[in-house]
Amino acid sequence: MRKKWKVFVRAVCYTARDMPAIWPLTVLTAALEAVMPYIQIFLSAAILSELTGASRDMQHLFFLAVLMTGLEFLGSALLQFCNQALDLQQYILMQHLDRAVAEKAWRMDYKLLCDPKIHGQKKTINNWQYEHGMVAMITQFRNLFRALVTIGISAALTIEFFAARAEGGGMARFLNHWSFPGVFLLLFALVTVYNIWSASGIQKGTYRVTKETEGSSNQRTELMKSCCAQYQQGKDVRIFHEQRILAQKFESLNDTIADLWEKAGASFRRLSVSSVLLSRLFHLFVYAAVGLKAVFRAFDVGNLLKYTGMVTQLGDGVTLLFHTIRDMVQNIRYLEDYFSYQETPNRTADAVLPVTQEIRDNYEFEFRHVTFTYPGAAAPSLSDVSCRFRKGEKIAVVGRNGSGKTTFIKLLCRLYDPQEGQILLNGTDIREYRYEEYLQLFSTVFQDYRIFAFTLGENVAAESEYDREKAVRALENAGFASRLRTLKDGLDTQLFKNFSEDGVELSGGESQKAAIARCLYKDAPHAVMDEPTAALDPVAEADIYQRMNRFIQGKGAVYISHRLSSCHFCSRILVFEGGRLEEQGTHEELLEKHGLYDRLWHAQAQYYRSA
Amino acid sequence: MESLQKKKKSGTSVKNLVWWLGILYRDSPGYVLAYLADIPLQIGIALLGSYMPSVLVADITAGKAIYVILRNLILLGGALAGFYVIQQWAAETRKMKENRICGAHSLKLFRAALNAEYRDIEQPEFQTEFMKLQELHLWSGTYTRMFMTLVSTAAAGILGLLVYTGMLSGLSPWILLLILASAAASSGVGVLCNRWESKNRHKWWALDLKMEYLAQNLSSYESAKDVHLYAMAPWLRKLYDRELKERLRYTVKVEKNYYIWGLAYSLAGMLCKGVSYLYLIYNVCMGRMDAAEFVLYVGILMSFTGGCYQVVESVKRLHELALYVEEDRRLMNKLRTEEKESRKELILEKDYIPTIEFRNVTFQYEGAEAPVIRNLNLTISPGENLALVGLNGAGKTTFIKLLCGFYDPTQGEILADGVNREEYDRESWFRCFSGVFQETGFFPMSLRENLDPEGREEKRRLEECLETADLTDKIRKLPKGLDTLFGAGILEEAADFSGGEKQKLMLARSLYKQAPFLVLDEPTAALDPLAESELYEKYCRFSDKKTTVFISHRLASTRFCDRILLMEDGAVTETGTHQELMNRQGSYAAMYRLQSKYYQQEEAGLEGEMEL
Repeated sequence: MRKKWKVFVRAVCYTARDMPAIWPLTVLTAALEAVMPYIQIFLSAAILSELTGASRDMQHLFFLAVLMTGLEFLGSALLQFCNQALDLQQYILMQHLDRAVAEKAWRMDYKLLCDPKIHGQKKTINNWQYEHGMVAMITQFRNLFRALVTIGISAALTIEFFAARAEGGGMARFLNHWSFPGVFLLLFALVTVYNIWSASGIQKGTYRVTKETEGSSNQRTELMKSCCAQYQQGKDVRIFHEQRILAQKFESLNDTIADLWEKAGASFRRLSVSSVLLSRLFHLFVYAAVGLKAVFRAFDVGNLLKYTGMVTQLGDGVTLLFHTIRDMVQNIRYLEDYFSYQETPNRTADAVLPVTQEIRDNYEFEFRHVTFTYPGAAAPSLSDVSCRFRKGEKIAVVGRNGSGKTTFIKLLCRLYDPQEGQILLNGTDIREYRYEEYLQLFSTVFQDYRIFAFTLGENVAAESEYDREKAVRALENAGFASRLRTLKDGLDTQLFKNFSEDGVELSGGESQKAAIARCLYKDAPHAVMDEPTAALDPVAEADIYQRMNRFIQGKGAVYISHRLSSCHFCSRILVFEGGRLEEQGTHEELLEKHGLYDRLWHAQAQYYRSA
Repeated sequence: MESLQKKKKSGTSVKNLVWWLGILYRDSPGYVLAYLADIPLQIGIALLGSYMPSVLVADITAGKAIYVILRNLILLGGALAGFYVIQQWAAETRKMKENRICGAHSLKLFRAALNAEYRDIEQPEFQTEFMKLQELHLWSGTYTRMFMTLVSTAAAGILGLLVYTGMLSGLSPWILLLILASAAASSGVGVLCNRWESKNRHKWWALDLKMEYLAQNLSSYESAKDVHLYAMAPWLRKLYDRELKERLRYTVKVEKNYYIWGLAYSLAGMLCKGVSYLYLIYNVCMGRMDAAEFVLYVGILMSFTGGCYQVVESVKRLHELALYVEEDRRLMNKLRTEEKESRKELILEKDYIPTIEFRNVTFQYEGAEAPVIRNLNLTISPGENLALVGLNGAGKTTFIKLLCGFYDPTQGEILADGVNREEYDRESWFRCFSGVFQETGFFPMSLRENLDPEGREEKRRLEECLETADLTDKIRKLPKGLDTLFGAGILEEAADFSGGEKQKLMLARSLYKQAPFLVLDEPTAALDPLAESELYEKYCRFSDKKTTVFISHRLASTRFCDRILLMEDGAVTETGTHQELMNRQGSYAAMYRLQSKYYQQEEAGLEGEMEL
């Protein structure tokens, strides 16, 4: 319980620090909102009293009418201002929170982000951020204040109403007896409790059905997407005559979802209709009660409208209070979720050793008995791998699908840490170096590299302000030159159509070249490339290998490729099989060994021998 | 001229709205009726709400008996409660139906897209339009609900105004005119604000998209490797802040606009209310009206004022909505497949394969400057195994699309046994083809459904095909076997497949469909050398008694084909067996040498730098 309070305090402090004006605004808006309806309630009652009274002072009446509309205008002008200001504040807060969630992810350890739990947590935060959490908390507090003020004013009026004494006997005596307010309040309580109960029943039901239909809903959305966002699959649809089965799937998902909602809808209808019926009956009862008191001259007819209005306000206030409290209690879970995501500790945070220029100029990596198992996997992806390589060496990593090649470079780039063994840089465990500085050692092209919807130049430089000449040179060296000439905006060409119709789409081969250009632009001491030419034709491939070869003269490099011809210009080859480093040596050495490399090589080379 | 155009525009927008209403009524008359029932209910509630306090005031001031007072109250209040209950019941009933109705409409759209011509759905405009419409229909039917609500409020507003005007006929017409005028004036301000917004909206929409892209796409684990290795975090933060700053400039402007609009609204409201009150007070003081009538007229005048705004507002928004409806209608029409009764079915006897001939075929994409395929002439004999090679962008994939029937030639003809393809029903043409295309073509459903979409359930043969594609082990390891869902990262229980495994799955599917033509577009790009070589060894077996076309950047694959076609700039420039093309010393030979250089060097014992 105490912990829960702490979360609240923390969230309030966080928002107050981020948006200092937000809390005063919330209180002001809530108070205005609560007071506004009473202008009409009080003044129209005063007007009606004056009208039904013995002497009608027209001047006074006009004054009251002008006062009422004038106050209402001022009030609504002010309220609207506060409302919009608060909306704006909440909007900015929302954006800041979105940014904070993203920024955490941008900097989070790769390993953690890939953890389905954390990546799921982030995804759900993104999903609810608009309805729950801190932005919603502001609205909830606003409702809370508003409910309290409303209840305060209307409770005072209610007391006034009960205190007004009816004149005469019989019925009037009952109206003055304590049992009258007793019955009144009892009915009020019953109706309010029923309303709150039925509303939360509907809310719970909606939540339940939403959860129940989530899977089907997702699948339906994906089916829909797969015939437009992934329109290429349209080819498969037509060739394999999938129209019928897909439509059937879609229809059955539709039915599942609709059935569940319809079934739940019937009970929602029962609840909400009965709640409306009760409220209206109570409303009628209030009219009768207030009317009777007026008949027995407890107050004049003008006050009729005042007291009926007040009871409505009181009911609204109490219901709002209950809903708000329930929402606030529910919201605690979301606040906790948010903070626990933000506090996910980075394992890379506390390393202090700098990667000096000296290291960059002259480095050596060593894998020492490295074993690594992916989280949740049964078997290790790398086991007991030991090897060394240093600046100036070009290493080829080969092996079958799933043999651990990609894992090897992921460990090298510190995307994961080994569970056993160590990776050393110049004799020191790489975990002791500052993470950012360590990553500056590498220029990479991963198998699943991403080119983003920025301009071409920004993609190459990973910055908005960059050396344009260098970027052009990198693109040329990546074989992008002829395509670059066809782009009229050159480096400033917006890629992809995400934001603008004029965005340029790149083919698979072209984006691969852009990724290589990015790697060349970074110009780090060590290049790491995972299947960098898979999408390229033989001519482009040969061309790029040749340029790359020139580029990495004197640097270090690690290559992965299924096309073993690329091993040729590597000084050493590491052959992986089932997570083990099976063989290593030069091309010639390995062929002489007649091991796995020999088999892989000949599997491919046999087709290229002159027939 | 301009006004004429405008008229025409609003005419079509009415037509579009009626069209949609018609569709909804046809799909589910009860749903539409449940909305229309709201019209009399809204007016009834407004009237009873004004009458009830007025009658109470009248009865009390007239000193009526308690019994009479209570009777009147119960009659009126009971009726009011009844109206409220019916209204709520109707609202909940429509809500129950909403999912089914929107689902049915989405299904129509989905079917239309499935059955449309492939070249139509490939257009980028189709994809954006489709996505927009999908949101209209799928997301819990927000737009359908909004549309129906607007229709009923507009109708209730108009009808209500007539009723109230009748009831207020005793009052000065100036009052009503004043209310109408101020409603018109304040919504005029609203229109101006809105116009500015809708004209400028795209500017901040683009910013929103950018911020979302930064916050969502770039923070996904798929992007994380590049974000980390290229130390993008500080830059991304800078970008986000830049966009946010720009966005806030617009937000503040929009809010200012809304504030002006809101002030105009409040001002007009104050004016109407103030004048109404003063006028009614004056009448009471002059003895032309009693207190009860005062209460009644106040109520009705307020309803009248509300009605004016209601009509103006809902008509305006209906007009906006009509634009979406129009798009929906256009897309549906576009996707409607042409009538093809005149076309005959292409039915092939078992094991018969026709000869395919490309005769002077030229193909140009819509809106493209130059043709992709130029004057192509080619005959493919039955059972021939072709290899198709060439540089990126030479037109290989377009050739495949033409062959399979996704596109028709811009000029020239494609013939099967001498008969123009266009005489055949397209669906029956597709029946003759099977293949592996470059992109993953599996859907988020079970493996079995993906592999055997027509439900033939030939179990033995399916197992054979999986065996050929080297998948038996992988499937055996899955706890649910073939009932495992495909679509990791999307569906919760789906299994994850690597790039190589996906390629194998697609190969298995293409083999399971026993078609006389088999087309393989880069089926080995993600396979390791041994898996690749195994596939080549099996190739002879599964290409037997079929016409096959094999595209690959790995020229080794050409060895298993009867004939190689080299495409350059949309034309076949060299054709023949590997040996013939090597002897020709043309582009193929050069490309082959380039790729085989290092493999052969081994044999020759050469060393040295690569040179082009």
